[in-house]
Amino acid sequence: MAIEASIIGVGMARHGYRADQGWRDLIFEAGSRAIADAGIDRAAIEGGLVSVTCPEAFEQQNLGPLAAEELGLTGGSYAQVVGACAGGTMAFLHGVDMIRSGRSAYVIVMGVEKMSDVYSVSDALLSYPDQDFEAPAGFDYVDTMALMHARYMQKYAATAEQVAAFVRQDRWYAARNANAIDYRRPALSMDDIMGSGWASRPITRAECARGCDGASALVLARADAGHRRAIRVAGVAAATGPNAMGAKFGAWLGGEDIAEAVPTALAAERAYRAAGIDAADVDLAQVHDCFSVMGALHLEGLGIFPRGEAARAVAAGETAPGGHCPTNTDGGRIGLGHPTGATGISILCETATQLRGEAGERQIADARIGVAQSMGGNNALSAVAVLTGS
Amino acid sequence: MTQMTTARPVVAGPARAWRTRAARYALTGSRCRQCHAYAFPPARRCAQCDGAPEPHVFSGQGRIVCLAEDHSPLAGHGGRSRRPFAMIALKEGPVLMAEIVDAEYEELSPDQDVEMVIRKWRPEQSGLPLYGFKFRVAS
Amino acid sequence: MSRPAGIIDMCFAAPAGRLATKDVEAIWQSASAARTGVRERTVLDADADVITLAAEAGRGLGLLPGTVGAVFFGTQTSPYLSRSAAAILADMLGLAPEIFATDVQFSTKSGTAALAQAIAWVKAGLSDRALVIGADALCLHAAPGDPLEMTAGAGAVCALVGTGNVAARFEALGSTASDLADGFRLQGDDYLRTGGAGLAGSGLGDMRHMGGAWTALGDRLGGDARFDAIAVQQPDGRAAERVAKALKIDPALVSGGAVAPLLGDLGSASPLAALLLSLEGRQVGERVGLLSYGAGAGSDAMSFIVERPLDAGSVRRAIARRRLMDYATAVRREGRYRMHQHPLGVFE
Ligand SMILES: [Zn+2]
Repeated sequence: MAIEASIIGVGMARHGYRADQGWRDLIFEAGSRAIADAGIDRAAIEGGLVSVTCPEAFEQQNLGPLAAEELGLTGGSYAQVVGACAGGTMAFLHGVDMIRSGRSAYVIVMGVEKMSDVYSVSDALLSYPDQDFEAPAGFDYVDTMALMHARYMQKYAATAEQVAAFVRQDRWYAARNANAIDYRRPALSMDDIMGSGWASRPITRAECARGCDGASALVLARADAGHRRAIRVAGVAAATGPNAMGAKFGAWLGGEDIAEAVPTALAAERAYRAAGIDAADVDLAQVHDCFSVMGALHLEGLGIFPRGEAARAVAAGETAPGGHCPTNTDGGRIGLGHPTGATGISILCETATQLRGEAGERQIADARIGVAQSMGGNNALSAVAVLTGS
Repeated sequence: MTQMTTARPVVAGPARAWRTRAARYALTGSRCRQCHAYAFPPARRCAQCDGAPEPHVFSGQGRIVCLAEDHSPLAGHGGRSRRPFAMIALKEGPVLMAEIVDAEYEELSPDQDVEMVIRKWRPEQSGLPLYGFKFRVAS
Repeated sequence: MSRPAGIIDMCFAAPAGRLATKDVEAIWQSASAARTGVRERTVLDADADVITLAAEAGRGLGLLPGTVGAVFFGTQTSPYLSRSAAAILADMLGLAPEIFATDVQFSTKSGTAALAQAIAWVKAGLSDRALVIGADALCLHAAPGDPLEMTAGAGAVCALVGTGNVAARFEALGSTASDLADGFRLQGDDYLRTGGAGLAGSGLGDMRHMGGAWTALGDRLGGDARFDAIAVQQPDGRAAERVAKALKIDPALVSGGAVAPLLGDLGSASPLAALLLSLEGRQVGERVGLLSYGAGAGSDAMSFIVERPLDAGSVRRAIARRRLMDYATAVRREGRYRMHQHPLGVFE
């Protein structure tokens, strides 16, 4: 009988601009909460991984052993994982494999970021877009994704307002999440969003993720360890594609280019197969909305809405509570905040919390199967996890 | 005039971007010796047939696929408050991302013909500005 | 007897940006715009310099023959103190690495100095073809409020020089040079300065050196040489006229090469741009003169015999590619403030 993995502990450090906290404070906060939530002796944890994208912000590398030391986990196997904004989910994927392989009985996976310590998030993350011909020409993520946004509208006849509807959805959930940067903030009108000024046209400032500080952590265990409130890891997979924008044209047989999240579709297919589900079974989803349009692309990659239909569906309320598939129930990158290295763990924290029925005023009724997806680079990497509650 | 530096405080680094200059200066991509597929940036192996590519200088003629406009310039790009940029399909086939100069966003549209010009990109860590391709409406 | 040599083709490039002289005058209340004879001057783009302008002109010549063995890059406004603009350009134009490349600098006569050297080079048989650049971006080195700020523009000319198939056959050269400090830029100083209004107005620099070079050229050609057009250095829109008057040249001969009224002071590109205009629509056998001036001081005078007219479409296209902007926008484009280099606006 193959070994299965479960999430038994969830911990988050509030996402936002936390000028008084260093990375060690944040990872300690999230890690301690996850261990306490798991209810196990920390000595049982045999190893783990730490995801980070921009450790230059605090001029520290090799966060694996340093985080372990901070949390009193010395002696185990720890390392740092980099997978751009999907790094957290990649740390999780490999943490799950540590359990499934039988190597470890208990594993902790964490993510951390200190974006308030960089001068400019877009410049700090410039080592992630194509470094030969795109970043040095002055194009950061908001620019590459502005072209994806333009192409999506062009190809699928979606309107700017339909794409922007993702922001209203994110704000609604974020206002109900105490960990979110937009907690208790008022709802956004379409005029607020469209009138917020261009970041990179057609993306308005309100349609951008909020690069910020934060940390999150998960304790993983063998599914047969018999923990209460355990959430089963039914499937997890990742897939890659070209990182440079131009390389996406002609890379796939179906005519996909920059208006589709092909790696997400590939990863989702594998994760669903492992979990024995299909897209129609998904009760709630967390997708990588670093900019509004990316939410639509990934929802389509996950097969939750047909290609070209996600923006319209979001605008029609299909991702709100009670809709076809409630999405980004923690507020997403736009409303929760986007501590890039932590994001890929945060989405799993939210999914587990929802499946446990512990999400309070944003709880999705009868949530049993949740999907969490994160993207690294310009659709260069996508990681998809399927979690199931009991 | 003034020295452009990266936003992150860094010790001036070595000059290394000169390695990619052929592609930046003259749109030197590649063409497969076997199946004749074009690639830009130059391919180290042919993505179609795994054949060996050889350098190929592209014409610099292309067509706008889709357009956007940068309103949040990065360090080293502040001279222009807003700048249109686009996915551009080269006449030979490959698609690339580039800034459009000597035009405003409102004057441009998909399917418009454009031609390559050489302009400055951001400086690398050594402080040297990189020169590279940009495009303008075909004359 | 050395081989006949001359100019095979020429191409011009200038930034699209334009700033009206009267707008500069309004900022500084200097009330001298009308005197310059310059209506608008070119504004250098933030992402341009003399090398990108030269590359645009060079690419305009089309595929260059493999026999180009040298690049002479004439400019006094290279962005680099030691890095060779000629080597960068050679690489951009696909001529590197088997190429002789050098920068040539003599104030605003750097372009004609480069041309003279390239002609000597091909006549000496060191290679069949050579590339000549005359390019400047004086606008970056004009002090705010200085009269030069009204006129200083940017532009580049690229000329292919060789020993066969020439359009303008080189005939003779007369040059002058002496140590006369009528204009200079000191190390570490961003801005060009004059040696003072008295010196500038005296004619000891420009008129004396140009007159000397023109006379020397006349002596080489023999007493009865007559010209059909003369391309003259244009620091402003009136300069060619003044030179013609001082040198007793028919003003009609210099007017065809006017570039300064619409583009400003193109520095080292100025006399070569005028030459390109002067070589358009000419009859075979006509004689065209070239007369440059560089502060500091020196002048080159050259004569050419037309063997085939040149097309000056690149000048007209550059003039037509005009984007007028206000003073504030021009200041931003040209990066004239010392400023933070972190982003001016960020998306987060
Ligand atoms: Zn091939």
